[in-house]
Amino acid sequence: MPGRQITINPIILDKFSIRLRILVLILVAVLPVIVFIIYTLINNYNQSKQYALNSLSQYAEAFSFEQNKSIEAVRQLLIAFSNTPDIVNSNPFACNAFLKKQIVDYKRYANFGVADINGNIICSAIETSKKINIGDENYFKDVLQTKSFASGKYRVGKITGKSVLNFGYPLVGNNGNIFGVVFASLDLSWQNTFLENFTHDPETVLLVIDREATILSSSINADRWVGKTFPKDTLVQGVLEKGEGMIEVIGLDNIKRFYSFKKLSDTGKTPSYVVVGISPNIIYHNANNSLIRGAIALTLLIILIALISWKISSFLIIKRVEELQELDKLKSDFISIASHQLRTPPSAIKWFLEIISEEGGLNSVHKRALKNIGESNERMINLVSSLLNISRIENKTLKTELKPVSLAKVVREIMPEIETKVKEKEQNFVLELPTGLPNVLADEKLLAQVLLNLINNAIKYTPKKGNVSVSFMRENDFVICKIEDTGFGISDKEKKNVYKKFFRGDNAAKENVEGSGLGLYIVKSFIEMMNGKISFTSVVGKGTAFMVYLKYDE
Amino acid sequence: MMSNMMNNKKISLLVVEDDAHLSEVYQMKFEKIEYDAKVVRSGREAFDVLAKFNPDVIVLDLVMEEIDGFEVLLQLKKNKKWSNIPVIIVSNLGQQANIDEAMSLGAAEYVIKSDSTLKNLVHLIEKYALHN
Repeated sequence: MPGRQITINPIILDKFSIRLRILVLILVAVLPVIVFIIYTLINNYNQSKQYALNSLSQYAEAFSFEQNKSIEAVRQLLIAFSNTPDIVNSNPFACNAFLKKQIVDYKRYANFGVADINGNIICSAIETSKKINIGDENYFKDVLQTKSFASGKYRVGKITGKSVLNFGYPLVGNNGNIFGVVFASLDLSWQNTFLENFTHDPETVLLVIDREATILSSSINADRWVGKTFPKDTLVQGVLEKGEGMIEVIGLDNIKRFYSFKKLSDTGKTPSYVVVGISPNIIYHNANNSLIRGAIALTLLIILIALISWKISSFLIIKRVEELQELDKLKSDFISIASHQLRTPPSAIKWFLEIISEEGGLNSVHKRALKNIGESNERMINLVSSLLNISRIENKTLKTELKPVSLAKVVREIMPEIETKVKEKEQNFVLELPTGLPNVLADEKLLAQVLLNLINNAIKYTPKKGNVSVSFMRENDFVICKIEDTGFGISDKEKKNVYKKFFRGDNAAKENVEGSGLGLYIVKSFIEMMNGKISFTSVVGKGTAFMVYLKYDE
Repeated sequence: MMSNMMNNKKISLLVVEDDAHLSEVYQMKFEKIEYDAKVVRSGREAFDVLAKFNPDVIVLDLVMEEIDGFEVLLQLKKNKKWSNIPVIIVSNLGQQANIDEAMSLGAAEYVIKSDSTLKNLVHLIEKYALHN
């Protein structure tokens, strides 16, 4: 029964997985571009951040320039005072009167005054009956020590009660000795107003702080913050020591800002600093915006690439895959149709011959002709089956199912056909099937075809009255089936071609044995599909022995 | 070949075969052995005949134009009137998948034309006709 255990295996191709592979492939291909874009984005982000920080630093620079100008104004004023006779002459009355007059003109100041070398106040714009000494003030000591302009720390004025920052300048006598200090108390509340006007951004903080980080003036919350210490962690400390710098720190209002510090010039040993604080949101605003825009653009690009590759896969590959699947199906259909169509006419011939044969009154010529027609027709049927088997072997559409198979059962199935043929050729047929052989792992239909084919060959290629023997034995991992004959044999030079398609030996032609040359090719393929082996020995004129090795089931 | 004479009743048979020559060979064979056989050439004709003819056995080809043998088999098994009639598939479709499909649809036997003889087919027909 040729070709029964056959199913067509369709090409299984998951279109989704093909598309996915193409997508991954294209993404991998454009990966360097994506990495470059990401690198550029990050680079731009950092540059834009740096630019913002530079702007902040420039802002602080501008602010410190303004502050330096006002400190320079204080210095110039004090220099002018130090050269005023009313002050130098140590006449308290004249001095008081002069300073009182000045304080009206210079509204930025809370007080002016003169102290002697010991710090005792000799005269001041705001008069007081108390005896006040400024000898312990930093700026006073600095003036004496450096003999030049010096600024003090944040103070609540001893006379005025206002938040002030004091500046001092030495009074030098003709002998070159310092005999006193003229001082000015800068009114910090005025300064606050100045700072408020310097910036219009409520998020931005402008501060002036002293060496101790005490806030001297502030653009926001001046009433609460002036006199308080700016959070003075180690970072701030470091920046103050360095004179300028930029750090991110949490301010008095618990808001994190970038603060740019700049030391003011000409403030002596106790310097002041301007501080500009800007919220990181503002600093990063542009940087973040461009980063977000870039990220959106990149995402869109990737989506575009994905869509394009999806489309490409449809146009270039999926379409082709579908065509191939269609072709594969057509091929399978063709085999199936060919199988059906080619076998129908011989079937009709076969059955008509059967009807004629059953009729009486046929003479010997008729009978001989009918026998030959019948045999030719069988050859045709077998040839179609063989071609079909080859087509299925080569298209890998032959599905085998290996199961434990009883050799006795297979032999029993094929025996009737063998017996008929042996009888026709009057051959001596011996079958050796020992009991207790294990079941072999095989496809029953294929195994039956293999054995039938090999035994038929032995019968065909052995002359009348010759011997054909079939024996089974167990050896190591295999059950061996040996098919031996006393036939024509295969010549040495033909041995290597025995399993080739359409090969026919010289003897086959010489002895006029019919055959297609496909049998052994199919036999070998079937045996290999069942994980078995085949080999043979042959001597011309003596005979041939084929050995089939089959795996067995324990 | 005794059975067609039993109870003086001929075995009645419906053959559905679209091939002209095979139809002819069936016709000749079943005339000779005196079956009450009707040979039709399509699924449609088969149902026309079945409207007034109740065969013991149906011999059915598979590959046919319009309504194929699988469809005919399906309709036969779906209809209570015909579902008990044994159907012998006689086809040259030799693949296991075809055989499995036909058997699962309720075919009684599956015969591959080129592998079988008429004698064998008659033997099967009588087996099922008697059984019924």
